Amino acid sequence: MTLPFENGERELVRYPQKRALIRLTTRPPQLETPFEVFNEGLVTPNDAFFVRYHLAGAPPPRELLEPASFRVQVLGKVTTPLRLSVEDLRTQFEAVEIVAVNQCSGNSRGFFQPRVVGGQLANGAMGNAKWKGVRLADVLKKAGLAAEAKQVLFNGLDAPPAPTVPDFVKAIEVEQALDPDLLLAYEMNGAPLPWLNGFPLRLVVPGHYGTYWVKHLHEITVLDEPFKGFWMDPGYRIPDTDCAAIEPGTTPKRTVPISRFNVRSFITSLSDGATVRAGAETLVRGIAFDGGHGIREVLFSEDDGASWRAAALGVDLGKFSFREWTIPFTAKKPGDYQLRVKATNTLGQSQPLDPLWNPAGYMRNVVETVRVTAQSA
Amino acid sequence: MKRLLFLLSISAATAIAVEDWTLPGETPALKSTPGAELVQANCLICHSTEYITSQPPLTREQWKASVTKMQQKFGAPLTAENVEPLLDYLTASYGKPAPRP
Repeated sequence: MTLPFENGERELVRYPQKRALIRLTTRPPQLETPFEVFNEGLVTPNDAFFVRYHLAGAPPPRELLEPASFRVQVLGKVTTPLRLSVEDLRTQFEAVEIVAVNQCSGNSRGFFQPRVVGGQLANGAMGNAKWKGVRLADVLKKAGLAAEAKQVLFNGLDAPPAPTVPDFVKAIEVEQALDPDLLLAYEMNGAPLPWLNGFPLRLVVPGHYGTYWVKHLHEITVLDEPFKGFWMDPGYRIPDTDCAAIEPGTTPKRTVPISRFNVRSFITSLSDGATVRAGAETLVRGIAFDGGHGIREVLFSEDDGASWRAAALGVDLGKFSFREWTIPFTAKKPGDYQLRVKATNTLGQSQPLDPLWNPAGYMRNVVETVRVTAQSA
Repeated sequence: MKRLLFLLSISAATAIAVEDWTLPGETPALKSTPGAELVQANCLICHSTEYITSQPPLTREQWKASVTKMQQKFGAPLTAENVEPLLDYLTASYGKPAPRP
């Protein structure tokens, strides 16, 4: 199959527990969800959920992940270090469920103009799932945070292929770690996490880019100083500007760690180049989401943004979930139509009509366009 | 209601244990012009070929930035005398000519 940008030829390949997905790389495996999956339902099935790894030692082999021997440790600036099995988490802590989108920082990077180096993804490095686990805050409270605790560090079993390669380790501020929305998750859509999505345990950071959702999580370390590893700096940083954007082709003066999703929306029921019948009503549907403030409004245009109508919002699965929207559309006469969709969240944040740019190809959220042709009946 | 049923159906449909722990092999080959052996020795020890072959056509400067990052941040064992030959290969095979001055 071919993604709609230069050098976008990809294979559809089946991996363990996965249907055929768009393969970006084999070692480590990186798989993108075919976009039509997002029209199947609001929740992305486990077997279609995208896969992102950083290091060739990933995914960790079975022997490191067996429930009988797998443990997650809580270490560092805590009163009582912990060593817990997934069963311990299930039995000693309150279970919590949350529906939340996970999205790769570089989702849609392949559409950047000028093009940038990195994983050349279309729009399928995102997914929405019901995560079940325990609150990170509850586990940290059980361990007892020291007064000097500043950051919490998360390490998974996906190991670097050589000692010179920086291990994939992520840090968040202690205040954020105590947010009750953050989970140590062992289930996804009612089943154990798939191997390639972090089995048996991963961090879930609703509203935040996937880089923080450390998979195969086995070490939580409380620090009394800011962590400076490669994957926090210079990795995964965005320009410290409005909307993380700078003039295309330039270099940012100052950067900050990437954090929350911006607002995005997509048409899912019609793909680019589709045909509709002139004079017949079509119910157009799609999805919208943001970094956890909730979608307030979705506007739809059938004339390339000249005029906009409000779409109907569908069932609300929570502020971190995809939100469905629908709107009837009738192409009054044969010809080409540019359908556009623009969402706004409860803070009033929306999407730009023209794409923004940054050198790492992160956080694309332009108002999307789907071109359809109406044919006479 | 339809949606709720849909959500419930997901749980049953995806409750599959990990049974197969083997991953598909690597297939994509590199363009076998001179210099490919440098990629083999210095790049493919840490990642598969698509990290190179799936990039948009990059200029020599862009390839240089990537190679430098791999040397400095990831410890790619590339020796100094092999940098220019590797850039020659990457630019010729997966690159685009620099804009005319």
